[in-house]
Amino acid sequence: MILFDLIGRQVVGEYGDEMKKLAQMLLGLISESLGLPCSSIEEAVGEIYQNITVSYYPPCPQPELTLGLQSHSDFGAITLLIQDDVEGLQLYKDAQWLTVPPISDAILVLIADQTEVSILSLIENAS
Amino acid sequence: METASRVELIVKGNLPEVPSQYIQPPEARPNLHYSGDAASIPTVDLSSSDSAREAIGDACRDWGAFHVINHGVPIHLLDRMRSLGLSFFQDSPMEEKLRYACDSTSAASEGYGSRMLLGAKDDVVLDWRDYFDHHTFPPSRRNPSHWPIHPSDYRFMLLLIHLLVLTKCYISRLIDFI
Repeated sequence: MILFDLIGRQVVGEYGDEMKKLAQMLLGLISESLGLPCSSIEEAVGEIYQNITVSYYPPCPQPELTLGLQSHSDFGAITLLIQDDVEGLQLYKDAQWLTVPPISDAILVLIADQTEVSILSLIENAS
Repeated sequence: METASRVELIVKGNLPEVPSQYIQPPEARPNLHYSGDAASIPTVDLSSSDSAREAIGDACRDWGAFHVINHGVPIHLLDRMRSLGLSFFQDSPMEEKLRYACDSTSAASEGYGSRMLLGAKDDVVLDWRDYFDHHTFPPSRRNPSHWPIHPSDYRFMLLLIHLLVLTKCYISRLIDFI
Protein backbone atom coordinates (compact mmCIF):
# COMPACT_ATOMS: atom_id res chain seq x y z
CA MET A 1 0.00 0.00 0.00
CA ILE A 2 2.81 2.38 0.89
CA LEU A 3 4.46 1.68 -2.47
CA PHE A 4 1.26 2.34 -4.39
CA ASP A 5 0.69 5.55 -2.46
CA LEU A 6 3.73 6.94 -4.19
CA ILE A 7 2.08 6.86 -7.60
CA GLY A 8 0.16 10.04 -8.41
CA ARG A 9 -2.70 8.43 -10.32
CA GLN A 10 -3.38 6.12 -7.40
CA VAL A 11 -3.58 9.12 -5.06
CA VAL A 12 -6.18 10.80 -7.27
CA GLY A 13 -8.26 7.61 -7.36
CA GLU A 14 -8.16 7.16 -3.60
CA TYR A 15 -8.86 10.83 -2.99
CA GLY A 16 -11.91 10.54 -5.28
CA ASP A 17 -13.19 7.44 -3.48
CA GLU A 18 -12.77 9.00 -0.02
CA MET A 19 -14.39 12.28 -1.04
CA LYS A 20 -17.32 10.46 -2.64
CA LYS A 21 -17.95 8.58 0.62
CA LEU A 22 -17.85 11.86 2.54
CA ALA A 23 -20.17 13.59 0.03
CA GLN A 24 -22.76 10.82 0.33
CA MET A 25 -22.56 10.87 4.12
CA LEU A 26 -23.06 14.65 4.14
CA LEU A 27 -26.04 14.50 1.77
CA GLY A 28 -27.50 11.88 4.14
CA LEU A 29 -26.99 14.08 7.20
CA ILE A 30 -28.46 17.11 5.40
CA SER A 31 -31.52 15.04 4.43
CA GLU A 32 -31.95 13.88 8.03
CA SER A 33 -31.49 17.40 9.37
CA LEU A 34 -34.61 18.28 7.36
CA GLY A 35 -36.50 15.37 8.91
CA LEU A 36 -36.31 13.40 5.64
CA PRO A 37 -35.01 9.85 5.04
CA CYS A 38 -31.23 9.65 4.67
CA SER A 39 -31.25 8.92 0.93
CA SER A 40 -33.73 11.68 -0.04
CA ILE A 41 -31.37 14.25 -1.53
CA GLU A 42 -29.18 11.65 -3.24
CA GLU A 43 -32.25 10.13 -4.89
CA ALA A 44 -33.58 13.53 -5.93
CA VAL A 45 -30.22 14.52 -7.43
CA GLY A 46 -29.96 11.30 -9.43
CA GLU A 47 -26.92 9.61 -10.96
CA ILE A 48 -23.61 10.60 -9.36
CA TYR A 49 -20.91 12.26 -11.41
CA GLN A 50 -17.68 13.20 -9.71
CA ASN A 51 -14.93 15.48 -10.99
CA ILE A 52 -11.78 16.48 -9.15
CA THR A 53 -10.48 19.87 -10.21
CA VAL A 54 -7.06 21.12 -9.13
CA SER A 55 -6.86 24.90 -9.52
CA TYR A 56 -3.64 26.85 -9.89
CA TYR A 57 -3.63 30.63 -9.51
CA PRO A 58 -0.33 32.00 -10.87
CA PRO A 59 0.97 35.35 -9.54
CA CYS A 60 -0.69 38.27 -11.35
CA PRO A 61 1.08 41.54 -12.31
CA GLN A 62 -2.16 43.55 -11.84
CA PRO A 63 -4.24 41.68 -9.27
CA GLU A 64 -6.54 44.69 -8.82
CA LEU A 65 -7.98 44.08 -12.31
CA THR A 66 -8.47 40.32 -12.37
CA LEU A 67 -10.22 37.49 -10.58
CA GLY A 68 -8.83 33.97 -10.16
CA LEU A 69 -12.35 32.68 -10.58
CA GLN A 70 -15.39 34.82 -11.34
CA SER A 71 -18.42 34.89 -9.05
CA HIS A 72 -20.51 31.78 -9.54
CA SER A 73 -22.47 29.06 -7.81
CA ASP A 74 -21.48 25.44 -8.38
CA PHE A 75 -23.99 23.56 -10.53
CA GLY A 76 -23.42 20.11 -9.02
CA ALA A 77 -24.85 18.59 -5.85
CA ILE A 78 -22.06 19.29 -3.38
CA THR A 79 -18.54 20.70 -3.55
CA LEU A 80 -15.80 19.54 -1.19
CA LEU A 81 -12.87 21.92 -1.25
CA ILE A 82 -9.41 21.84 0.24
CA GLN A 83 -7.43 25.07 0.09
CA ASP A 84 -3.76 25.78 0.63
CA ASP A 85 -2.80 28.32 3.30
CA VAL A 86 -3.32 31.37 1.08
CA GLU A 87 -6.64 33.19 1.47
CA GLY A 88 -8.62 33.99 -1.64
CA LEU A 89 -11.97 32.26 -1.58
CA GLN A 90 -14.94 34.49 -0.78
CA LEU A 91 -18.62 33.80 -0.07
CA TYR A 92 -21.47 36.19 -0.81
CA LYS A 93 -23.76 36.68 2.17
CA ASP A 94 -26.04 39.53 3.19
CA ALA A 95 -24.95 41.64 0.20
CA GLN A 96 -21.23 41.42 0.88
CA TRP A 97 -18.26 39.26 -0.04
CA LEU A 98 -16.68 37.55 2.98
CA THR A 99 -13.29 35.83 3.02
CA VAL A 100 -13.23 32.17 4.03
CA PRO A 101 -10.08 31.64 6.13
CA PRO A 102 -8.47 28.29 5.26
CA ILE A 103 -8.39 25.78 8.14
CA SER A 104 -5.66 23.22 7.76
CA ASP A 105 -6.87 19.58 7.67
CA ALA A 106 -10.52 20.69 7.44
CA ILE A 107 -12.63 20.27 4.31
CA LEU A 108 -14.91 23.06 3.14
CA VAL A 109 -18.40 21.91 2.18
CA LEU A 110 -20.37 24.03 -0.28
CA ILE A 111 -24.00 23.22 -0.99
CA ALA A 112 -24.37 23.42 -4.77
CA ASP A 113 -27.31 24.18 -7.06
CA GLN A 114 -28.73 20.68 -7.48
CA THR A 115 -28.93 20.08 -3.75
CA GLU A 116 -30.48 23.49 -3.13
CA VAL A 117 -33.15 22.86 -5.76
CA SER A 118 -33.73 19.31 -4.47
CA ILE A 119 -34.18 20.55 -0.90
CA LEU A 120 -36.71 23.15 -2.00
CA SER A 121 -38.80 20.62 -3.92
CA LEU A 122 -38.51 17.97 -1.19
CA ILE A 123 -39.74 20.44 1.42
CA GLU A 124 -42.54 21.59 -0.87
CA ASN A 125 -43.68 18.00 -1.46
CA ALA A 126 -43.50 17.19 2.24
CA SER A 127 -45.71 20.10 3.28
CA MET B 1 -7.31 20.27 -28.81
CA GLU B 2 -7.02 23.64 -27.17
CA THR B 3 -4.26 25.95 -28.32
CA ALA B 4 -1.63 26.77 -25.71
CA SER B 5 -3.42 29.62 -23.93
CA ARG B 6 -2.60 29.18 -20.27
CA VAL B 7 -2.25 31.85 -17.60
CA GLU B 8 1.13 30.40 -16.67
CA LEU B 9 2.45 31.23 -20.16
CA ILE B 10 1.33 34.85 -19.80
CA VAL B 11 3.14 35.07 -16.46
CA LYS B 12 6.30 33.59 -17.99
CA GLY B 13 6.09 36.17 -20.80
CA ASN B 14 6.70 38.92 -18.19
CA LEU B 15 4.18 41.30 -19.71
CA PRO B 16 3.94 44.56 -17.74
CA GLU B 17 0.13 44.47 -18.02
CA VAL B 18 -2.42 41.69 -18.09
CA PRO B 19 -4.00 41.06 -21.52
CA SER B 20 -7.35 42.83 -21.96
CA GLN B 21 -9.46 39.64 -22.00
CA TYR B 22 -8.52 39.05 -18.33
CA ILE B 23 -9.58 42.53 -17.13
CA GLN B 24 -12.80 42.50 -15.13
CA PRO B 25 -15.40 45.27 -15.55
CA PRO B 26 -14.92 47.87 -12.75
CA GLU B 27 -17.90 46.65 -10.69
CA ALA B 28 -16.49 43.10 -10.54
CA ARG B 29 -12.89 43.97 -9.60
CA PRO B 30 -11.57 42.89 -6.21
CA ASN B 31 -10.90 45.41 -3.47
CA LEU B 32 -7.27 44.81 -2.58
CA HIS B 33 -7.24 47.38 0.22
CA TYR B 34 -9.98 45.57 2.05
CA SER B 35 -10.28 41.86 1.45
CA GLY B 36 -13.60 41.64 3.28
CA ASP B 37 -14.56 40.45 6.73
CA ALA B 38 -13.80 36.84 7.59
CA ALA B 39 -16.79 34.62 6.95
CA SER B 40 -17.63 33.09 10.33
CA ILE B 41 -18.88 29.89 8.78
CA PRO B 42 -19.38 27.02 11.22
CA THR B 43 -16.96 24.15 11.73
CA VAL B 44 -18.80 20.86 12.13
CA ASP B 45 -17.19 17.91 13.92
CA LEU B 46 -18.28 14.72 12.14
CA SER B 47 -17.08 12.35 14.85
CA SER B 48 -20.63 12.17 16.18
CA SER B 49 -23.45 12.13 13.59
CA ASP B 50 -26.05 13.06 16.19
CA SER B 51 -24.54 16.42 17.06
CA ALA B 52 -23.31 16.94 13.49
CA ARG B 53 -26.81 16.59 12.02
CA GLU B 54 -28.19 19.60 13.87
CA ALA B 55 -25.10 21.72 13.25
CA ILE B 56 -25.22 20.90 9.54
CA GLY B 57 -28.91 21.81 9.34
CA ASP B 58 -28.18 25.23 10.89
CA ALA B 59 -25.14 25.76 8.66
CA CYS B 60 -27.13 24.96 5.50
CA ARG B 61 -29.88 27.37 6.47
CA ASP B 62 -27.57 30.23 7.48
CA TRP B 63 -24.62 29.84 5.12
CA GLY B 64 -24.91 27.05 2.56
CA ALA B 65 -21.30 26.32 3.52
CA PHE B 66 -19.34 24.93 6.45
CA HIS B 67 -16.03 23.34 7.36
CA VAL B 68 -15.91 19.71 8.49
CA ILE B 69 -13.30 18.18 10.78
CA ASN B 70 -12.90 14.53 11.81
CA HIS B 71 -14.28 13.87 8.33
CA GLY B 72 -12.64 10.47 7.89
CA VAL B 73 -10.56 11.41 4.86
CA PRO B 74 -6.92 10.64 5.78
CA ILE B 75 -4.98 13.89 6.24
CA HIS B 76 -1.98 12.47 4.37
CA LEU B 77 -4.25 12.02 1.34
CA LEU B 78 -5.22 15.71 1.46
CA ASP B 79 -1.56 16.74 1.75
CA ARG B 80 -0.51 14.38 -1.02
CA MET B 81 -3.26 15.65 -3.36
CA ARG B 82 -2.22 19.27 -2.73
CA SER B 83 1.46 18.57 -3.37
CA LEU B 84 0.73 16.51 -6.49
CA GLY B 85 -1.37 19.35 -7.88
CA LEU B 86 1.31 21.93 -7.19
CA SER B 87 3.99 19.68 -8.64
CA PHE B 88 2.06 19.24 -11.90
CA PHE B 89 1.75 23.00 -12.43
CA GLN B 90 5.18 24.02 -11.14
CA ASP B 91 7.54 21.13 -11.96
CA SER B 92 6.29 19.70 -15.26
CA PRO B 93 7.48 21.35 -18.48
CA MET B 94 4.73 23.00 -20.55
CA GLU B 95 5.02 20.49 -23.41
CA GLU B 96 4.43 17.65 -20.92
CA LYS B 97 1.42 19.45 -19.44
CA LEU B 98 -0.05 20.09 -22.89
CA ARG B 99 -0.08 16.35 -23.55
CA TYR B 100 -3.05 16.42 -21.17
CA ALA B 101 -4.72 19.51 -22.67
CA CYS B 102 -8.49 19.46 -22.37
CA ASP B 103 -10.78 19.95 -25.32
CA SER B 104 -11.79 23.62 -25.17
CA THR B 105 -14.76 23.10 -27.50
CA SER B 106 -16.61 20.96 -24.96
CA ALA B 107 -17.85 22.54 -21.74
CA ALA B 108 -16.48 20.23 -19.06
CA SER B 109 -13.77 18.16 -20.67
CA GLU B 110 -11.13 16.36 -18.67
CA GLY B 111 -7.53 17.58 -18.52
CA TYR B 112 -5.35 20.67 -18.37
CA GLY B 113 -7.09 23.91 -19.24
CA SER B 114 -7.80 27.50 -18.40
CA ARG B 115 -11.32 28.27 -19.63
CA MET B 116 -13.59 25.97 -17.68
CA LEU B 117 -17.23 26.45 -18.70
CA LEU B 118 -16.27 29.51 -20.73
CA GLY B 119 -15.95 27.51 -23.95
CA ALA B 120 -14.36 29.02 -27.03
CA LYS B 121 -16.33 32.30 -26.93
CA ASP B 122 -14.28 35.45 -27.51
CA ASP B 123 -16.36 37.96 -25.59
CA VAL B 124 -16.01 36.57 -22.06
CA VAL B 125 -13.65 37.84 -19.35
CA LEU B 126 -11.18 35.08 -18.56
CA ASP B 127 -10.23 33.75 -15.12
CA TRP B 128 -6.65 34.17 -13.88
CA ARG B 129 -6.45 30.44 -13.30
CA ASP B 130 -5.15 27.22 -14.83
CA TYR B 131 -6.66 23.91 -13.76
CA PHE B 132 -6.56 20.17 -14.17
CA ASP B 133 -9.91 18.41 -14.17
CA HIS B 134 -10.09 14.66 -13.46
CA HIS B 135 -13.21 12.57 -14.13
CA THR B 136 -13.40 10.08 -11.28
CA PHE B 137 -16.94 8.67 -11.13
CA PRO B 138 -18.79 6.61 -12.35
CA PRO B 139 -16.12 4.02 -13.23
CA SER B 140 -17.02 4.32 -16.93
CA ARG B 141 -15.72 7.92 -16.81
CA ARG B 142 -12.61 7.09 -14.78
CA ASN B 143 -9.57 6.58 -16.96
CA PRO B 144 -6.32 7.18 -15.03
CA SER B 145 -4.33 7.18 -18.27
CA HIS B 146 -5.83 10.65 -18.82
CA TRP B 147 -4.16 11.84 -15.60
CA PRO B 148 -0.61 13.13 -15.30
CA ILE B 149 2.43 11.03 -14.61
CA HIS B 150 4.45 13.11 -12.16
CA PRO B 151 8.21 13.55 -12.09
CA SER B 152 8.23 11.75 -8.70
CA ASP B 153 6.42 8.79 -10.33
CA TYR B 154 9.20 8.47 -12.91
CA ARG B 155 11.77 8.56 -10.11
CA PHE B 156 9.82 5.90 -8.25
CA MET B 157 9.64 3.65 -11.32
CA LEU B 158 13.37 4.09 -11.95
CA LEU B 159 14.03 3.09 -8.35
CA LEU B 160 11.80 0.04 -8.78
CA ILE B 161 13.61 -1.02 -11.97
CA HIS B 162 16.95 -0.45 -10.25
CA LEU B 163 15.88 -2.66 -7.33
CA LEU B 164 14.66 -5.37 -9.72
CA VAL B 165 17.98 -5.34 -11.58
CA LEU B 166 19.90 -5.53 -8.29
CA THR B 167 17.72 -8.41 -7.11
CA LYS B 168 18.24 -10.22 -10.41
CA CYS B 169 22.03 -9.79 -10.13
CA TYR B 170 21.93 -11.07 -6.59
CA ILE B 171 19.85 -14.13 -7.53
CA SER B 172 22.07 -15.01 -10.50
CA ARG B 173 25.14 -14.79 -8.24
CA LEU B 174 23.42 -17.06 -5.73
CA ILE B 175 22.68 -19.53 -8.52
CA ASP B 176 26.33 -19.35 -9.61
CA PHE B 177 27.37 -20.07 -6.06
CA ILE B 178 25.08 -23.10 -5.81
